[in-house]
Amino acid sequence: MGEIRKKKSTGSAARFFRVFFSRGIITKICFGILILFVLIAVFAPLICKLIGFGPYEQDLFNMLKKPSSEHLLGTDDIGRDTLARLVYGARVSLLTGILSSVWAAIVGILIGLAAGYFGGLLNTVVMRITDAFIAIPPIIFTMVLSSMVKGNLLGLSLVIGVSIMPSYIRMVNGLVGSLKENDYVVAAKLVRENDFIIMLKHLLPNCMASMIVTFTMNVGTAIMLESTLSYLGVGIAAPTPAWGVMVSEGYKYLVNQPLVAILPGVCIMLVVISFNICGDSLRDAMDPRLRGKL
Amino acid sequence: MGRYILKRLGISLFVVLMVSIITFALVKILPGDPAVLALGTEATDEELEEFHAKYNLDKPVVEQYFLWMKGAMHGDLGDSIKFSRPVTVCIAERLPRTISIGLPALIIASVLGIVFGVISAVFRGGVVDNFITFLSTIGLGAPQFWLGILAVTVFGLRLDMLPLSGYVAPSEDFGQYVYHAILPVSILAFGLLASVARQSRSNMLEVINQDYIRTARANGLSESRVIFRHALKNALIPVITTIGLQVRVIFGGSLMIEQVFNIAGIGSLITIAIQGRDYMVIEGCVLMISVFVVIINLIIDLLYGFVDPRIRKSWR
Amino acid sequence: MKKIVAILTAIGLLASTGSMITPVLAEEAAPVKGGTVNIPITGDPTTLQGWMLRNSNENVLATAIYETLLRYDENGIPQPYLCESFEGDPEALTYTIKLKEGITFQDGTPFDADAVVWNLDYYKENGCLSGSYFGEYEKSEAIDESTVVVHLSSWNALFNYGLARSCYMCSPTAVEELGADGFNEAPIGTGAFKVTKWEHGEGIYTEKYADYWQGEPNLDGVNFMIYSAVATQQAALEKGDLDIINLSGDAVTAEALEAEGYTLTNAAIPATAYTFCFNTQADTPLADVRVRQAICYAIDADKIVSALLRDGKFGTASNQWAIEGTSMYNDEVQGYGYDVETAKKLLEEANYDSDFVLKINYQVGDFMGQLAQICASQLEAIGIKVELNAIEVANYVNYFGEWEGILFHQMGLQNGQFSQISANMITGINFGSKTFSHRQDTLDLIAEANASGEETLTKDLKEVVRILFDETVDLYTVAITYTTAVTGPSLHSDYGVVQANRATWHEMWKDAE
Repeated sequence: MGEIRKKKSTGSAARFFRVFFSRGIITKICFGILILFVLIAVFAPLICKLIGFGPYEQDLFNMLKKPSSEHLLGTDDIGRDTLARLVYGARVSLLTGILSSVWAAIVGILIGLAAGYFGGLLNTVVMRITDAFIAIPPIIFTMVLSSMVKGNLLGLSLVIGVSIMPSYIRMVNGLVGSLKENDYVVAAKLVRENDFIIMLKHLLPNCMASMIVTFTMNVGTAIMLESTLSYLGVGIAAPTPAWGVMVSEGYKYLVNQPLVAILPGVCIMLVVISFNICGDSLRDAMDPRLRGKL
Repeated sequence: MGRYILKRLGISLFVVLMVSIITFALVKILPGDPAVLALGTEATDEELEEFHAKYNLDKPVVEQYFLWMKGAMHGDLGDSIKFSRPVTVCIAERLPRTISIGLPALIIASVLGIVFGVISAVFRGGVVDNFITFLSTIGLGAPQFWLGILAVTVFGLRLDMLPLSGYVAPSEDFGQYVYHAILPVSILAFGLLASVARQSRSNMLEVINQDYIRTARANGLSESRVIFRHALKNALIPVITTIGLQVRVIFGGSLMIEQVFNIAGIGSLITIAIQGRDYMVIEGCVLMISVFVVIINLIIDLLYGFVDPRIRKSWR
Repeated sequence: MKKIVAILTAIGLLASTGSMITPVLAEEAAPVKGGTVNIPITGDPTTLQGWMLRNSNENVLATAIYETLLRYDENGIPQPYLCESFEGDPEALTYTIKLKEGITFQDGTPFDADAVVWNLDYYKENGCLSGSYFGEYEKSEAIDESTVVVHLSSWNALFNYGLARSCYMCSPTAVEELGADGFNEAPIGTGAFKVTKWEHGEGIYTEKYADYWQGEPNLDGVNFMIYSAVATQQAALEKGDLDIINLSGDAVTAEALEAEGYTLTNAAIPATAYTFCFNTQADTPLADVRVRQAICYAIDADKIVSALLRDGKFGTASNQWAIEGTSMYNDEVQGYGYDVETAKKLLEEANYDSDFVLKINYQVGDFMGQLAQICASQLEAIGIKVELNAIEVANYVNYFGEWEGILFHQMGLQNGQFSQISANMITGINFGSKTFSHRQDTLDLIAEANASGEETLTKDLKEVVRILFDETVDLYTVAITYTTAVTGPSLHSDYGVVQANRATWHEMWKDAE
């Protein structure tokens, strides 16, 4: 097993990227978008300096202005520069999305792995409780829970994390359920390898590809949940420029000044799409079986 | 097998029980007193107490739960605090609307999703793959309320092709139903489509590269035969899970869709209930949804066995 | 005590409905019979039982179905409506109500003294505001077919307010036949329109009541359709699915529609005063009056009004809960104009702790959200850290008694500033019980005002207004908004929907298609 791993890691990075981008232009674009948004999020203050407006700077006599040379993407309903708010919004959305997915992944994978591996009563109980959580639509769940965290980013990411966790548990559990019948797992058991090692060494890597797909999907789901909650007034608190908040604030003017609500929606869309498509490609690049063929 | 189904049924009951407990706990977390909301701030303490007593809100939470559960087993989900009507009546009056929007959406999304996913996988990396991936991911990437209001503005207002909102029951006038349901069903399906397509594509790719498929290919079986006879079946197993998961997404999505399109279904009922702290309605609706989801999962579990012999083994 | 809170709530709730006073004068064209008008409501009413109606969504439609014995006039004073006269006798503890002749309920049963007695008794027993307005109600008796005498246990000068605000007259026959739950689905009042169907979650459909006592209504029916969002309401209006929408504090949408040829009609009586209610009692920098003054100086209300409300078109600035030139307005109030330098100086004098985070609590709402964010940014400009706390509607009531920092409250103004002051700025009620300063002289003045005649009342309450806004700085008005009805050109007459208690539904008409 160790030998195989070594072989994998000696596979050059160039090959990884070749596979990663092998899906054609779309992966390149999406990867570019993702990098762009991450850079935007990181360098938000710098960008705002360049724009000349901060995300909180109000100009009451320039409300809901159309794009101009001064305000490149126009202004919102209290005269704040839309571009500046979008730039800072990238921070909030990416952070909420990734944080909640990370919480969910860590806890979800561990639970799913353990339950799937040990099986028996533990598996039954864990999976039934998971089923119970799954049966409650996440939006209802988060709507109720978010009323407790009061627009706080960390709290909100935990709430969203809890609500998307069951998908990891189920996915890992399902995979492990069939994987553990595989020869190499049975063999590892026969040579009395430590359960923990088996899980981490043999089962986890084999779940990785699917988990990455799930993770990217969930970053999207999380960003969307955040925006939906913000739209409902229980998400990120004003005046923090979260894209979801921006959609909800601009929603009212959709008929007259649609840009205000459309732009943040477009950002959400771009980021979620990029996460998904990059995740897909990543999976292709990481899956050893696929790789051998390509 | 009969025993297995019985066992699964028992498990399902347990899940529903867990849901009811979780929901009950969740609802108690919500800040705000439904009595104050219903009676207003001018209500006297006695009036509030009377109100609490009427809905058993004065009793310990555990007792409240058992009282409610006892009623639920007899088909009585209590009365809506806000509308003072039986919760079952509220649900019964609205469920058909949600189903008549959600079910077509689920079917469309599943069928298209699988087709798209398989095509994507077969033509991996090509223009078709890119296009399908992009299209289906838009549904995943765009917030549904945003997409909904955008669609209303474009198709309803600017192009004046479709109605802005509203609902007509299929039993009443099927043509009108379709006319009114096109946008909400499309948007709901759009959101689900991507998950199914992605999962199908991923699994398909995985399966295509497995030994037995390679063997099949090596044995000179035609590509379409390989895909449809061998790869598809195995690739679809996890997809079924995904579709099963979409059932709750449908109910969740209905929260936003029904608001935008003014459809008086379960989703809008839940929104109103959460905003109005209508405990009984929230609990009743979530219980109802969970029963739905659990039944569907039960069916999926059984389907799993049919398609995956390894799991069928465990039935014994 | 309770009735005061009741007024407060009534007003708070009314605020979102708005009230319109100026009827649009019908053009020369004669009213056309027929047609249906669709009016948006934001959600299902919680009830249609006449004795339970109280919230804003219900007020929009209540007066189409039901009517009250008395009705507010443009000054917010109750006047006889379903009755000829309404006379109180404090000595005898009675009110004598002389009913109008020829009024019938929508089921054809007569609206007579027996029906009124039944309604009053029923309201006392079951009415939602019974505890507030009917506390002293003992019984009533029908003297003859059109005369009712109400007996009180002790004198209640506000009884007429209760009858104008609440206690919609329901058909006793219908209630008894259908039961309360059945009546809820098929309510019967004396109004111009009769409910034909309540499609829960979708809307309420009505048809005209041809024998309506003020004449056969022009329209065939009025439908109250649920449209929860402004954007969809606007879209529906533009498409013709709706005939009226109501806006408050949304100049952008209103003006866009105006440009498209829609008519804007403003309520003459302002709808809502967006008010800072300070927590003066907690041990925070806000306990220092100079800090509160500094906060007032820091807010550029004129700029806000000019930018957001188009300088009086959709709302106005004021230093109290009334508009300049109206009878309850106190000219002596100085107010706190925009003055950053003075604000900063005051903070300095008060040794303001710049690490203190001022919490501004407000109920979620579009215009409210805008205002709160603007105020926050203006306060930050003088070095005050602000945390905004948007509260869900369902949770807002929990903040009534006590709040941290500022409660940015939407004070309804339909009943005028005097009733608001005397109802809210006293001890013994929930609102602000732990946060307002309740200075003794203001309490004494309010008590004196309530027990005296018109002249002293006006003088005393104006003084209280001055003290509260200028001296103790318990309150600061950021802006006052109007409610604006937007209607298409085919709709005529007075738009009952925004008039709530003053609607003339039967006169509304629509051009033939």
